Amino acid sequence: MKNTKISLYKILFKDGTIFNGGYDLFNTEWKNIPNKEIKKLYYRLPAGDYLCLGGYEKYFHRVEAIVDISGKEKGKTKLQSIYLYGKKQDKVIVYQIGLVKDINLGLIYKKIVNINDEEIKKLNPKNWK
Amino acid sequence: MTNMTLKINDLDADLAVGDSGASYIDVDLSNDYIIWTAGSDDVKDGEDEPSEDELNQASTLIAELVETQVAHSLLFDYSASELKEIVGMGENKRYVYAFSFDGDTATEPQLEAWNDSNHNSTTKNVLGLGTPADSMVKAVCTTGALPGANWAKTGGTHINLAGSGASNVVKLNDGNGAITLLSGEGSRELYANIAIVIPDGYATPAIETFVSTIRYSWS
Repeated sequence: MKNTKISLYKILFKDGTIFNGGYDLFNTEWKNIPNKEIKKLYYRLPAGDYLCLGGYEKYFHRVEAIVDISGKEKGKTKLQSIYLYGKKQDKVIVYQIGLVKDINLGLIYKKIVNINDEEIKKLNPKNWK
Repeated sequence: MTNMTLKINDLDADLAVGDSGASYIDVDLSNDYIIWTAGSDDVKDGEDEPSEDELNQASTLIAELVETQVAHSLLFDYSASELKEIVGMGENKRYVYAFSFDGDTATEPQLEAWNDSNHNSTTKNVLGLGTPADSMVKAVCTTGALPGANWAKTGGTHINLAGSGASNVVKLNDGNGAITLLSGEGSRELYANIAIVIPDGYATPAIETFVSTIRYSWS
């Protein structure tokens, strides 16, 4: 998913300011989000519409990829899914957005897990916003 | 994004990337490839690219009464046009396969094995015919410590690699989660050792390929 005109996401902060994310999934600019309280996160989906997350204490974003080290397609970085997380008290909502054509492109999976779930504990703590 | 580079040790598997005297080859994943073989005069370190016949003649023989560990793993180095022995493969050695990341990751990188680049099946003989616990591809994370003697054999510390189930992937940071580079650190290397062990008397000789995959993410 690459678009040179529309950012991947927009963040509305509680102080009314807006941050525009990067323009493709290889350069998301997530690390450059100012350290301010987020009011809402609008994330652009592969079909062009938006998923909106709001009301969480912290947000996390990641792009999952695979690289084969053997086989016919070795060496290619192949995007698999976008993950968005919203943390509130001891719960974390997780959205997975599929990126694999003919498999799960654009499909959204949602689950709620405890903050002590291994998946959550092993995320890079620096990247919560 | 964060990029991953595969490096293989071609000299001394007691030395990490960056150690004095260490020698690693940056694998050109587009052109280089890995061969698992019993080895022969034509299929060994320093030889040129083997033909199909030469590879067949260097096939591993399946033993009737004891499990058989494939003796050699060789990298065909396209730029040098020769085979390079992957030093320490299958031994009680820590620094064999190095997965080098040039930035932070959002999750812990993991090693997986699949039938092919569709990454949705593990039905080949070498991967256990759909039963991951029976996979002949054995791997162990060595980022933090040696794998132990006979780690790839029955009863060793290995993981049977097949698919993406939690019990059949290798977390490359010893289960400690995502990696964060320190200030001034240009890359972080995570290590694994990989071997193939064929059960005793396995009844289906085959030439099979499989796909090894690194799964990771960035923010």
